[in-house]
Amino acid sequence: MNPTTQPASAESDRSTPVRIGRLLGLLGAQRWWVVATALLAFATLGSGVGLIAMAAYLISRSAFIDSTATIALAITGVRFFAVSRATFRYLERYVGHLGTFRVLTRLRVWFFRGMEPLAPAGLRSERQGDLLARILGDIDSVQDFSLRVFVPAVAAVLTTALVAVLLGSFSPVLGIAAVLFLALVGFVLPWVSRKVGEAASHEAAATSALLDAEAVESIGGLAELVAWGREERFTDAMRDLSERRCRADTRLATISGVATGLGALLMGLAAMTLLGLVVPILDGGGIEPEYIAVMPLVMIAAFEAVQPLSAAMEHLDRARRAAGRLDALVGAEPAVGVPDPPVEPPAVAPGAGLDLEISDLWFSYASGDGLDPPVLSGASLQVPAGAFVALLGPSGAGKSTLVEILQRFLDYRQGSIRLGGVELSELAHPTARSLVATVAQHDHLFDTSVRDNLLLADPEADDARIQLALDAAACDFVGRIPGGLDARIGEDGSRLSGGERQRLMVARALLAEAPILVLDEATAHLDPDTEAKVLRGVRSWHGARTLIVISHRTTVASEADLVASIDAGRIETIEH
Amino acid sequence: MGLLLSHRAPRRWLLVGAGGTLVASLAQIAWILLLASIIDTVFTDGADIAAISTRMIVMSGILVLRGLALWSVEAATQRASNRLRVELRGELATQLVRGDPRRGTGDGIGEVTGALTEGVEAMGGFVTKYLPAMFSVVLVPLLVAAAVTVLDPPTVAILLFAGPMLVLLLAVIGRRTAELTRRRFDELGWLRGFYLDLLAGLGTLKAFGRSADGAEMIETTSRRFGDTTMEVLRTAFQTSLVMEWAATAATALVAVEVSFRLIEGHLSFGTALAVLVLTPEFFVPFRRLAIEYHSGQSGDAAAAAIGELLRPSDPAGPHRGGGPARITPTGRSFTLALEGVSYTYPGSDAAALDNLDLVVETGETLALVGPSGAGKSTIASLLLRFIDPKTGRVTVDGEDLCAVDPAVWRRQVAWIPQRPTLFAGTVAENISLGEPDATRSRIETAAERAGVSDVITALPSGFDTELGEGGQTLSGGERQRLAIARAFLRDAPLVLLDEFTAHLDPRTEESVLEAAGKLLEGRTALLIAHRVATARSADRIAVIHEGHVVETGTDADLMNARGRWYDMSTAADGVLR
Repeated sequence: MNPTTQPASAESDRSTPVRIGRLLGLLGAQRWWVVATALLAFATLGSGVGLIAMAAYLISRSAFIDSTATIALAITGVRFFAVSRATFRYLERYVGHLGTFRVLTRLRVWFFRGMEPLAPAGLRSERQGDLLARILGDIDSVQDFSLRVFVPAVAAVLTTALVAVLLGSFSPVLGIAAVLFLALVGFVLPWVSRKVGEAASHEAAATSALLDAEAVESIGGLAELVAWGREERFTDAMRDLSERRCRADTRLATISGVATGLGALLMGLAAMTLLGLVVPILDGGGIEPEYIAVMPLVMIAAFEAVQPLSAAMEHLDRARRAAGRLDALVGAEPAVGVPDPPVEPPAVAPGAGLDLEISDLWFSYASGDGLDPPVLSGASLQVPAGAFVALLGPSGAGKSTLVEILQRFLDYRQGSIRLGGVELSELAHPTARSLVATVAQHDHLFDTSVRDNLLLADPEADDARIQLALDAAACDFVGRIPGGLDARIGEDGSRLSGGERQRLMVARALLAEAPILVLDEATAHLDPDTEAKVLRGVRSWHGARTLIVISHRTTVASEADLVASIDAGRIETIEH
Repeated sequence: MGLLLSHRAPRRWLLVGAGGTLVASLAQIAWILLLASIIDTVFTDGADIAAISTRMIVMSGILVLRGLALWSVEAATQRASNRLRVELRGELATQLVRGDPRRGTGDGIGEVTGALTEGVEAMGGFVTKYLPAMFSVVLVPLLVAAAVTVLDPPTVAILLFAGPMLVLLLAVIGRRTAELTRRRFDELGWLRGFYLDLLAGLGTLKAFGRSADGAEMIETTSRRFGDTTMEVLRTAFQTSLVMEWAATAATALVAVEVSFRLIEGHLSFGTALAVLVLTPEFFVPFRRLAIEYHSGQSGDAAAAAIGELLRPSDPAGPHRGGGPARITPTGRSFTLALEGVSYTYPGSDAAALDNLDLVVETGETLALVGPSGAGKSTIASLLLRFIDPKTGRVTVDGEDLCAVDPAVWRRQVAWIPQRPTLFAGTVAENISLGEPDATRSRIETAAERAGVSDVITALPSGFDTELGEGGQTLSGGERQRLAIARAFLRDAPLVLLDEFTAHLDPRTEESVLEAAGKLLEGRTALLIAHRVATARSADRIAVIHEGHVVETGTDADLMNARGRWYDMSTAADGVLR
C-alpha cells in the first residue's frame, strides 16, 4: 500500500488548452467591463508615471528659477496626477469586481445551458462530488482570465507604449531601451523562470493533490487504522508527502529567488542605462537639462506595470486548460437525439393513463472502444393504460437502464417504445417527460425547503395539495421535523434518512400528475409495512393512470395487475 | 501563532531572512542616493560618462548585492517554512492517532483534514510571505525616515505625519473591512453551493421539465447577490483608496515642498532629488503588506485551528497504561464489564455515559439499542481504547483495561464500523489491514468465509485489483463483507459491530448479517443495532438511554416487560431511533 505512487487524477485529463481568442469569446458581452477595467488600470499606472515625471520636472525646473510663478503649471500637474492615481485605482477595483461578478454569472449560466442537453449523462461519474467541485474550480479559473490576465496584460502593454512615446519623443533610443528593459523584466524573465520551474511546480501541485487525497482518506478511516494497528500507514504517508512537497517548494523558491534578484538588478540597470544614454544626447543639445532626471525616474516607475505579468502567465495557463476541460464537457455529443420535427403527443384525458408498449428493445453502453455487452437484449413489455405493473429483477438486470431510457436520458437505437401508440423517440423531450414521471435512483433533492422541492413537480400546487401528496407517500415525518414544510432538507436531502428521502421523492413525482408513473426501487429503504402503505397511497392517488413499480423485492407483486420479471436484459411477463 | 512558530520554525533561517531584508533595504537606499548624485552631476555639470562611471560601477555592485539579498530572503524563509510544515504535520499526525481517532469523523472530518493540508500550508505561507512583509513594514520606513532626516530634516515631518496616519486609517478601515470581507466570502460561498446543487440536480430538473428555469435562477440569484456584494465592496475598496492616496499625496507634497525650498536656495538639487525618490520607498512595504495581508489572516486562523488540535487531549487518555500485555486470550472469548463508567467528551457539558454498568458474558452477542446520542458509540470507543473512562473502569476477565498497552489490546478486537473505509491499495492489502504479514491463502480463506470471494474473483484483477481513490469501488454490501473478511483474518476474540448495516437496504442487510453470523460464533460480540431485526438476532438486548442502561434481557423478556424495547421495536418502520 504505497500511497505516493499514484499520479494525481486531475493531471491526467486529455482535453487540449484553448486559444486566447476562445477565452475572450467566453467573456461575451461582459468583456466591455473587462476592457473598461483594463483602461482604468492603465490610467492608474499612467498617473503614477505622470506623477513622478511631473515631480522630477518640477524639482529640476526649480533649480533654475527664483520665482514660483513659472512652475505653477508643474505644481498643478503634480497635484492632478496624485489625485487621479488614487481615484483611478479605486474605480479600477470597483469596476473590476463588478465585471468579475458578471463574468462569473455569465460563465455559470453558459456552462449550465451547455450541460443541459447532456445531463445527467455528462455529469455522472464514480465521484460526482469531485467532478462538480472540479467544474466549479475550472469556471473560477476561466473567470480569473479577465481580472488576472487580460487586465494586467493590456495595462502593461499600454503603459509600455506610453513610456516608449514619452521617452522616445526625446530620442528614439531612449524609447527603445525602455521597451527592451520592460520586456526583459516583465516577460522574458518570468517566462524563463517558469520554464525552468515547470517540473518543480508540477511536482508541487501533484504532491499537494496526493496530500489532500491521503488526508481525506486517512482521516475518514483513522479510527479503523488505529483499531487495526496500522497508524504508521498514516503518519509515514504524511511525513513522506510533506518532505516531497518541501523539496519541490525549495526548488521553486530558489528559482523564484533568483528571478527576484535578477529583476531587481535589471530594474536598477535600466535606470542607470537611461541616464547613461541621456548624456550624449545632452551633449548634442537634443534634450533640455530639466528633463534629465525625468528619464531614469520614469523608467523606475514604469516597472510597476509589468510586475503582475509573471502571475498573469500562470493564470493564463490555468485558464486555458480549464476552458479546454469545460469545452470538452459541454461539446460532448448529446446522449439522446432530438426529433425533427417532433410528432404530436398522444391524446390523454385528465386523470387517465396511457398504455406503454416496449417491443424488442436493445441497449448497450458505449465504452472506450465500441460497445459493452448489451444491458437490454430484446426486452418487450405490454402495459395497458391504467394497469399496475410490478417489474421484478435482481440488480444488474437492466432495470435502471430501462428507466433512464423512459426518462429520455438514454437513447435507444433498436426496438420501439410506444406511449399511447406514439413512438417515444419522436416526441419532443419535454413532452415525453411530461408523460412519464419517475422516481429514479439518481434523483436529486435540492438543498431548499420541503415545499420548494415538491413545487418543482407542480409550481402551482398550494399547501393543501402538497399535504395530500405527502400523505399519499406516507411522509408523516414532515409534520414532526422542526419547520415542517419550510424545513431545509440539506444537500441532496442529507438531513433526512434514506427512507424519508425516498418517500419525499415519491410525493414529488405524484404532484407531476403524469399519465405514467415509474418507481425504480423507490421503496428500497422502507420496511415492508411502510412500503405497502406508500404503494397503497400511490395507487389511490393515481387512480386510472398507469403505474410501474420496479423492485428486487417480490412483496410489491401481491397487489399488481401484472407481474413481469427482468433478467439479463430480457423481460418475462408472468400473468397474475 | 507565536508559540507554534517559536518551537518549530528554525530561528537560524528566520534570522537569515531578516538579515537579507535588512541588507536589501540598505542597498536600495544607498543605490537611490548614488542615483540622485549621478543625476545631479549630469544635471549641474552636463558631465560626460567618465565623471559618473566610478559611481555607476559601485551602483552595479550594490545592485548585485541587493539581488543576492533578495534571493537569500526567499531561500531562507522557504527553508524555515519547510521545517515548520514537516514538523507540524508530523506532530498533528502523531497527536491524531494518539487521541480519540473518531474525533475526525462526521462534521469534524473537514476541519481536521483542512488543518492537516491547507492549514499547514497556510502556516508555511505565513512564514514565507507575511513575516517578511511584516518585517519590512517595521524596518523600511524607519530606514527611509532616517536617511531623509540626515538629508533634509524638514521633509521627514511629512513622512512622520503620513506614516502613522496611514497605519491609523488602515487599522480603522481594516477592522470594518475584515467583517465585510467575511460577509462577502460567506455570500460567495452560498452562491457556489447554490450552483453546485443545481448542477447536481440537473437531471432531476430535466425530468420535471424545469431545467430552463435553472439558468434563469442562476442569473437572478447571482445578480441579486452581486448587487448586495457591491455595497460591501464599495467600502472594502476604501483601503486601497487610502493606501494609494497616502503614497501619492506624500510624493506630491514632498515634490512641491522641496521645489519651493530649492527656489529659495535652501536646498541643493541633488538632495531634493534624493528625497523625492526616497519618498515612495517609504510606502512600498505598506502596499506589499496589504497584498500579503491575506496570508497573515489565514496563517493566524490556521494556527488557532492547529493549536487546538495539538493541545494534549484529556489526561485520562488511552496511553495511561502503556504497560505490557497482561491480558491474553484465555479461550476464544472474554467476559467484558463496564463498571460505573462515566465519560464526557471534551468541549461538551453533557455526559455521554453516566455511571453505566454493563456486562457481556463470554461468547455472548449483546445488542446495544437506543436513540442516537444515547452513548452506544461511546461504549464502542471505550472498548477500542480510543478513549478511557473518566470514572469507573472497563474490565476484561476482571482485569482493568487501562493497564494494558492499547496497541496490544486492540489486536484482540475486530471492529466493523458503519462504513468501512477502502484504503488505496489492492483488495488483498485491504483485507489484510490488521494482519499485514498474512499469506495469500489465509486472505483468500478469510474472504471465502465472509462470502465475498465470488465478488473479488469477478473483479478485473481479482485479489490484486486496486481499490480506493481512482480504483475500483465496491457496493455497500460488498464493502461490509470485505470488513468481515478483515475480522475473520484477525481472528480476534472480541467483535464489535457498529451499526454496520445502517446504510444497506434490507435485502443486502440480510446477506451481510448471514456472513457476520458466522463470524460471531464462539466469540464475545457487541452489536450496535439500527434495526429491530438486527437487534433480535443477538442473544441479549441492552437498551441505552441518556448514558444509562435502562433495560437488559432477551427479546422475549423485554417484550413481556412492555418497556422501552417494546415501544421501540413496535414503532412504524422497523428502524430504531
